[in-house]
Amino acid sequence: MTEPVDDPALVLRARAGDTTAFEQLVRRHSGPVYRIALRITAEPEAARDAAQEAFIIAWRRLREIRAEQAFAVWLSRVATTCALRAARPQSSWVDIETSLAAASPTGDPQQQLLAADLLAALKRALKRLTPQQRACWVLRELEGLSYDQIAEVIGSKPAAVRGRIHRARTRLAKELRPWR
Amino acid sequence: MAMTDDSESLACGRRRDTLYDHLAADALDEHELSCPHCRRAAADLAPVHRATVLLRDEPADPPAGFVEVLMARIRAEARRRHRLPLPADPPMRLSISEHAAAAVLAIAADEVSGVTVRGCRFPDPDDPTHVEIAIALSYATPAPQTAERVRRRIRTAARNHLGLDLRTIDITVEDLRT
Repeated sequence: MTEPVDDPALVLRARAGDTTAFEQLVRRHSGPVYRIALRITAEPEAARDAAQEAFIIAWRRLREIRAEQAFAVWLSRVATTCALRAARPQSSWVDIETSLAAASPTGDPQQQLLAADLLAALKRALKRLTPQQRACWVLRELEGLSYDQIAEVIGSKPAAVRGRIHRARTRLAKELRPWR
Repeated sequence: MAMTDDSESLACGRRRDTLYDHLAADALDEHELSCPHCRRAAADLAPVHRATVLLRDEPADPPAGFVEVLMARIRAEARRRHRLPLPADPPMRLSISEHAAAAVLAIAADEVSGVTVRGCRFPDPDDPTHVEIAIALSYATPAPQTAERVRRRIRTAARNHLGLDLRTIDITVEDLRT
């Protein structure tokens, strides 16, 4: 077994044109990139296209990564930009209520149904946020980025990010009031 | 008092995002458990947190073939970069893709202390003795001496690994890092 190579070493090799090194980066980060794209665009096809676009832009712009910058955060920025560009205001979420109920490993059917309804309600509510609010919320709540990192990703100030996430949560809380 | 439902702080002064973090960590403090403002806000936010956890746990993997399709596009782009002739005894001919040759030199240059390689290329497809390299230096590193070390390292790597005697090594310092 060989030791897994860390991101900076792979970035260095990819920068010089090594596509195999870049493929390792893609395999390592395609999950988060696709997830960000899916949660922001809310459409699997648009998400796939945005995620592919993000990696192609990353490949072309590898030189722009600063030494002290984490590849993952830099890539999140590219992915978020691509996803926001692809996000249409009237995007529709895929209805996963039934698949979720089937996949859920535990609990009684009543509980599963409640969970599926709540999840569906959240997805509907997310669509009513502005794309910027949704992007900040996704990066914070689903990807676990700090306010500072999100500010870097979307090119804003941490205080503005904090405000957007606050407004997003307030809006979601209103939409989910029946679930209190 | 004009404290609306939407302000970032509650009437008691507690920030809503602090309350939310505690709620999410299942670690509401004594104040938050007893204060009526906090309790109401926590009740409002509880379904948001429950739903967020459900969404976070929902599988969202890239579709099958995602990496393969993407890499085919990337490799097609990379192939557009040229191939360099390497010295060989006739009738044998030897060539190396430009990016592979550049990678060898970039890795060598990156080993010089205080140097991070930003990019490396052979700008002229017909001239395998001309290399351009872009680097970032750490702030404390003296640029002229370091550039000379980079130049020596690249020249040695080119000779030992590629059999090339480089004539021109253009170095650009793109950035200084603290």
